[in-house]
Amino acid sequence: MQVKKSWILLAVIAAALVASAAPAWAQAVAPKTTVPIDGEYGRFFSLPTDVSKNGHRIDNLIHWTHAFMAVLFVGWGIFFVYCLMRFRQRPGHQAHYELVHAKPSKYLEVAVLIVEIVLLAGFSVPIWASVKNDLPPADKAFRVRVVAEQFAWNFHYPGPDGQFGRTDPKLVDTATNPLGLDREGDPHAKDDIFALELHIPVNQPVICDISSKDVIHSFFLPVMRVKQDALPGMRIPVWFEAVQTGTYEVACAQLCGNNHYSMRALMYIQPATDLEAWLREKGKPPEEFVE
Amino acid sequence: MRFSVYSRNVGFFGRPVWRAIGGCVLGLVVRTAAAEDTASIKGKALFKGESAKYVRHEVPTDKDPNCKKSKAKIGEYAVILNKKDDPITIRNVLVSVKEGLGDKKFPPLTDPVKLTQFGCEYDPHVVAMMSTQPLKVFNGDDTNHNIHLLPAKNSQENFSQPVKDLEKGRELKLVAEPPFFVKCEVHPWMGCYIAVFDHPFFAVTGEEGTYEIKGLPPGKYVLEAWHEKLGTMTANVEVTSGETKETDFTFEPDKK
Amino acid sequence: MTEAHHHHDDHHHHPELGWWRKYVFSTDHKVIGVQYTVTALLFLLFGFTLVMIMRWQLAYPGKPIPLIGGLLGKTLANDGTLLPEGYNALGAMHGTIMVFLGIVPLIVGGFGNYVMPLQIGAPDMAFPKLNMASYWVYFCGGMVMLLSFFAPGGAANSGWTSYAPLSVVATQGQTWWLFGMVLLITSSLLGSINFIVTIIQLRAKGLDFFKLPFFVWSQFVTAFLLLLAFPPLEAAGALQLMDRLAGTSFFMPEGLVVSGIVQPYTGGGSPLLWQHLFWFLAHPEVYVLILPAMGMVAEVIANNTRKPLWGYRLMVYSVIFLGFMSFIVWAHHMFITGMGTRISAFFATTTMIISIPSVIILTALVISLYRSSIRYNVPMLFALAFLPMFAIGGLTGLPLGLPAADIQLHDTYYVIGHFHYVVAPGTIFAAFAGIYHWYPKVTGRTMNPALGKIHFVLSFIFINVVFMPMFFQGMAGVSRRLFDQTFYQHGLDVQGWTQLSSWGAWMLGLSQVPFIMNFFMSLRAGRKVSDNPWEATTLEWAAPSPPPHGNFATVPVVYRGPYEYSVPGQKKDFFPQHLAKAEA
Repeated sequence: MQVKKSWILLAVIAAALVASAAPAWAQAVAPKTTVPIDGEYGRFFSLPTDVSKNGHRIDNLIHWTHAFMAVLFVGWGIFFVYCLMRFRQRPGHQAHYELVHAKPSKYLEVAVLIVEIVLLAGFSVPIWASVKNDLPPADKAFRVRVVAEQFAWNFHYPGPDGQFGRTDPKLVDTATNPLGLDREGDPHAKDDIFALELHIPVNQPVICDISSKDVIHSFFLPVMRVKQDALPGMRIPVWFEAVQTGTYEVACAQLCGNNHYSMRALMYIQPATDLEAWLREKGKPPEEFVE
Repeated sequence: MRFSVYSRNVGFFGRPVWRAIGGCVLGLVVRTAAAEDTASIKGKALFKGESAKYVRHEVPTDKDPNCKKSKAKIGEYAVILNKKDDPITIRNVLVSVKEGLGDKKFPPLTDPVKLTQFGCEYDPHVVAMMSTQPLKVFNGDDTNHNIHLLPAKNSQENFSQPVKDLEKGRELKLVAEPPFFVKCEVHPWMGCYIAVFDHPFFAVTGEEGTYEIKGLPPGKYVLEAWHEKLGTMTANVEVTSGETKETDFTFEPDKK
Repeated sequence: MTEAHHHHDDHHHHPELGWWRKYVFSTDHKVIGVQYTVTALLFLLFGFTLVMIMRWQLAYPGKPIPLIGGLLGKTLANDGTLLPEGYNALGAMHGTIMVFLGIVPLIVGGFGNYVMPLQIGAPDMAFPKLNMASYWVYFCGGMVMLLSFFAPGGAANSGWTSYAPLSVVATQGQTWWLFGMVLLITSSLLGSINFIVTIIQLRAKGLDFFKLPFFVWSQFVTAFLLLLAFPPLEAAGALQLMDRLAGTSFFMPEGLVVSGIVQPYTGGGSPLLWQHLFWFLAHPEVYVLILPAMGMVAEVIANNTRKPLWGYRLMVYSVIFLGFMSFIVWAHHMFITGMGTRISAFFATTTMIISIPSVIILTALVISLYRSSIRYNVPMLFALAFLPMFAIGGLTGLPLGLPAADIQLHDTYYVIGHFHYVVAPGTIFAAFAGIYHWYPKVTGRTMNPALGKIHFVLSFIFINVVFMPMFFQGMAGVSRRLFDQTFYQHGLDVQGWTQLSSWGAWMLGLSQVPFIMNFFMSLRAGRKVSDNPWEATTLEWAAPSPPPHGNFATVPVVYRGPYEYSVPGQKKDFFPQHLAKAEA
């Protein structure tokens, strides 16, 4: 009886500690973003809004995997708790030397293996193959180059001619030419558009070519279920298709230096006409500015 | 003149007790070092050439919505021409005495020089300071800034200011060095220059495109005008005591 | 076994050693084991303190840190408010200290050194001087890591993974980190050779490989992992040092523009090369972190269920298989670097395969509870808590191992939750079990069970308060290593969980007070106990407590397997390995 009382006391102490902390942790933090962001973001073990055509396949895989994990954990937990209660040491109770022939455990292990094979071969590999490797045909897709740098996302649009201009690291000027575009030397570069925000069309496949100027970054669109490391020295395409318009976030998912956390850009998913208007506006030669 | 030098003291020696003593001592030093009367040089930075090439367009501040209040322009924004003037004058030209001061020591300036980040822009765009002055960096924005100094001689300071701070700031000590670039790692369009001198004879052209260097001892000097995009020019100047000399610098970037 | 005998005799003829040789520069595996344990526990406390500082910034971004904010210096903090560079330095050092200076030295250097030779009936390690060198090289490595906080620009701040090119262009602290790592790796290599030779050569007479306690098996496999996996990282560390100091370009591609400045690197190095070399170490390293923990838990469970372990041989085969497989799964850390379908499918397959032996070991440990007689003492509580905690850690590895699911979850808090469940309530709970279990052997006294139970209950509650919210944050898409997640809308929306998690961490810190008190007070005030207080069967309990230099009064001979509990027809419910006949 002595033991039981002390355990209850402990539980009370622990609960009191948690309770004392509760009012403090509920303190609100003021938002830092001034542009309203669309979508719902998981508050309790749920994924953010999905606005992509392929995202639900990844979501389903995550959900099924978690269901399988839950079954395994709960089933196994029931047996565990049963053992803890049933086989506790007490007068008149003795352990058995003989080992049980635990056939269920073999079945369990085989079942785990089978489910894992199904999840991997049946879902993961086909999804991976289509979202990572099966790029849509170039003439149907909207193409953007994404160039990461410490600590900003640069977006490079090919302009009306549909051709990306030549870039050269030697031409990089942090303020005026972050991409190092060769506007003088390459005719394709003349009409190229540079922006620090991502504008893409709705209901059209988009191919982003991801690269980096300095260190490794990771291009992450939480609402699009897209993540791709930006590796210096490589240009890696990813594709996705948005099914809903709105304003969302581009995040960096790989530690890229001190201000990694503020490497955020906005993504505007727009109807094709709005996007064209924006591109036209962006592509205009700068007007002379008289102080 | 010497009082204007003295009145800049706000540090340790700026305290009332020290002001009395320090003022006397400093006054004596200045008196002997810089003679009774000093000269000034003033003038304009002028532009000759195709001004249409230098245009400014909007900063894509949407990267960080907290920059919205910015009036900064991207493009050749570093070359700010007062195109309404005739002839056109240039802002942000740093004029300093390059040669002619010899080994003379000058009373140190000690008041802090301010560099403020406001609206995702550096204010001022060209910081000129004496090596004895502390540089204080402030963040006036509700966003994160990361100041990265890219000097050759000084240490490559690279630090963040994640919260708004217009009071305490971050203090830096720098040694004399020609203008070097400073950038913000978070906002790619943000850049400015810092020049540090061993003497107090420097000035940056302001909104009118004019400068003035005061308190020069009489003598022969080589003046240098520096602009981040338009390059450097020099001029030989001779001043006598009490004189105010006018020297203009005309940049002709297309003439080469 | 004559060799062991010789050693034994040698030790008897040694003259009395001075204080320095006896307690500081000792070659005795027990002293070295205690040195490792105490140093590693101090590093664990330090590493945990770092994260408690970081958790303040995460919960209340931009607010000055109470109490210790002023101590952080100018590089890490500004007027007591943590800076991003400080956060990154603390983060990188938290990872490095916990893994390389805390847990591995504790469970391999500490427990391995102390318990393993006793469990195999050896008088000492095979190479005692090498053993001493191993500790002191580790100690120097630790000091280099600590001193790096005072380097210009602070300690290394490129994460414990030190991905190039970031680490190559990083501040000086990274160079210190690399030097520290070279020392730590050297220490591990010296230790692992010693472990392997000791286990092969110095087993007591009659102690076949399949009579070894499971803990010895886990140390044996771990030693091979350390021996084979660390050299690539040592080489990679040397290459990165060259990139930093000599301007080579092993990991630096051409045409880099850092801060607007074109970098001089030419020759086409690859940043992915570093990741491959790093994870080729660091994945086996994960098993270095968990295998000895499984070993300890198996010992404690066998002892306190009063029943042989279920599937001992199966567990041994599993642990060997785990060790082997851990070398061919490393690239699952790199799925989103741009892998094609085939290569990702290969590494996903090996990852699924490696989960099976882990499931087997866990299942075997749970089945061992069936029809047993569970004695709920403090070590057993920690060992039992290990099982569900490790299960959560292991299961949450599943969606991360499926490349398609990993697209969303990679590098989010989900990953942090996953591996902390494996290592913190997993390995560290196992280490606590080990400390409470073997403390009587080391000191001759037990730790106070009441304080132990308080420590257990509070730790168990709060460690879940710390890590469970991380899964919610990860699902919401919050990336790891963010100085201030409220910069993002998805981070702002789950900020409440961050704050709860932080409070959990600080409460968890408080929960360790009873342990620290208990650890030191029991040295004097603990109840004196016999040589075998837990009525255990393995050889370490045949030695006196604490064991003298040379360990055993008479060289033990082994007659039976390690876990002969509740043997039918015996008077007592345990039958030690070294007894020829049961006691009457």
